[in-house]
Amino acid sequence: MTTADARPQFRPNRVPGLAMLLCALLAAFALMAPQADAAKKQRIVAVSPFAAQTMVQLGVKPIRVGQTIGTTPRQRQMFRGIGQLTLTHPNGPNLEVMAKLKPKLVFTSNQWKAGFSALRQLGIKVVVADPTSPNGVYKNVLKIGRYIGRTKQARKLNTRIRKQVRSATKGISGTRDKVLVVLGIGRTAMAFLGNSWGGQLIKMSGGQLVTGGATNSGGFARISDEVVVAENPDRIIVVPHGTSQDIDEVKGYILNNDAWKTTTAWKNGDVDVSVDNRLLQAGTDLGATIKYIRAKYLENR
Amino acid sequence: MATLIALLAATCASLALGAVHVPLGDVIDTLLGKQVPEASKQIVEVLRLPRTVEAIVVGAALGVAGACLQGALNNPLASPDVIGVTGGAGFGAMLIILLYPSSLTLLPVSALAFGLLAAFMVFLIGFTGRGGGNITRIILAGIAVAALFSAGTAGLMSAYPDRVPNGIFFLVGGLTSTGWDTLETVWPYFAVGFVLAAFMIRPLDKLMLGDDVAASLGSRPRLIRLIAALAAAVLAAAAASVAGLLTFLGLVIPHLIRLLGGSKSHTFVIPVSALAGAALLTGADTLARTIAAPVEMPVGPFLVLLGVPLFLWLLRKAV
Repeated sequence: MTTADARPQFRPNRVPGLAMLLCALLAAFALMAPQADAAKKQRIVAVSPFAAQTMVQLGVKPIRVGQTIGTTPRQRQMFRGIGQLTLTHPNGPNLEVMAKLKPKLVFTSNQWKAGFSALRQLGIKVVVADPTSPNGVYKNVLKIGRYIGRTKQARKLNTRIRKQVRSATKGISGTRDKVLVVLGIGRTAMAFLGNSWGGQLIKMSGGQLVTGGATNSGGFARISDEVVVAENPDRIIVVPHGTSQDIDEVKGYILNNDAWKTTTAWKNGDVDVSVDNRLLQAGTDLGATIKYIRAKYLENR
Repeated sequence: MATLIALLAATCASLALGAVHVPLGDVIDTLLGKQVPEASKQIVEVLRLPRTVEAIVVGAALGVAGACLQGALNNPLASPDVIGVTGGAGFGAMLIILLYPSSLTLLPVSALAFGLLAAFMVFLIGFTGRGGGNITRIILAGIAVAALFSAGTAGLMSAYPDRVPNGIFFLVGGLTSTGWDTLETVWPYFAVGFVLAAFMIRPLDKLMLGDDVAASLGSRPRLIRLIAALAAAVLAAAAASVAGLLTFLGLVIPHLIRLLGGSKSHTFVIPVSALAGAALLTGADTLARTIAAPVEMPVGPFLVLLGVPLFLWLLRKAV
């Protein structure tokens, strides 16, 4: 027998089987392709940054995303090539711009509720998708997944987020640093309460908020300097509200606050200023954010 | 005639200009019911037309409210602030924005209700009991009630500071494109206010001659004052429920008209104040939503920007 004889021989009786398999595969692709295409071509505007991140991770690009201040490098990468919508009070996106864009669906947040009625009058479906707590992330991912026809992918994304959170919260010690997180609006500092997005992330990261279990509907409250002195936080995190140009001014103000100079945080130089919107704005990178908080603000305790 | 032309010009500008360029032909065709691209049609029909009508109605209401109040209280400094309407409406709006943000659709109703409540309180104190109907008493009652509601608003803002940005637009005064929804709710109040004001034109002219002379002519000064102030309160509260707190308009427009027209007769001042108020608010709103488009600015500062130089010029000229 020659080498040529040893090669697999062409067997005519296999042709129908192979052809059928090929046809079945082609048919499956043909059936799936329009669906995937349709999902990709949906005219959706993601006003809330959370919805924008979720959509991109589910493989559907929104036609516009709401303008966000203080995006992280990862978010910037996610939104590359997607146009931004300027948002202003009280409606959020400009309604004439929306009428021109004519999306089928808008994922937004309750903050822009004043404009919902006009959007609906323009024939645009309005869906609120912006969690206010880490637990709400999973529900909202699924909700977005359902609306864009990517439920399976949404479930997978939720599994991935859960895994990342588990890994990020591993090894949190019993000793919890007392943390004061303040939102700097000009010269008025407001403390993050336990039900704010940032407050919940601090707790998940192993910190203990000096505001304790206090909550209110907004998640922020003006805090008395006397409470700060009495509670003596180990760490102070300042979140400027607005642009990064405010950072130095806000930090300067905090560092020059005589009442706070008695705190352990001030004495140890543990006063940090957050330079992005991680503690303010819900996102899908829960695990990465917790890791970041632990490493940057809590020294991995 | 000049105010009518100004109103027509402002209306045309309001319909033709916006954040998105819609060709003038499309705007006209939409208004005539002809076939135009869907997006242009929606922008004109759903967004610009209701907003223009709102600006005209609110501007006219504030102009008339100011003229009625200044006539009724015989005080050139009278405006809807004086009878507490502004303070009450502001409180009503902030109550919804800050405390019940999920019920935002109730904002116009709440602003209207609290505006009228404040006016009712002022009338109750000012018009009843011994010496009721005395102008100084009405004005002082108005200042006190306004202070009460302003304190309530400030308290709410301190309690919910993070939500305050949502309310700033209302406090500064601004129209929003909410289609016909708000007008559908409050138009009866505008109608009642305008009708009452129309009936008060001649009686207010008699009141200008002084209470004694008016009484000798068969008028009832106290009743005239009450109905004119009531008309102003209803109009100002309805206006606040649509466009927030635009008190400047109610104060300045009647003065502008008196200075421009040279007549103090209410037969002239009230209708022309309506036209001028409508023209100024429509023009200012067009400016507010186009100058930094797509960002929409509150209209209050633009009203001042347009109105004050003209007012000061006229004031100087008159002196």
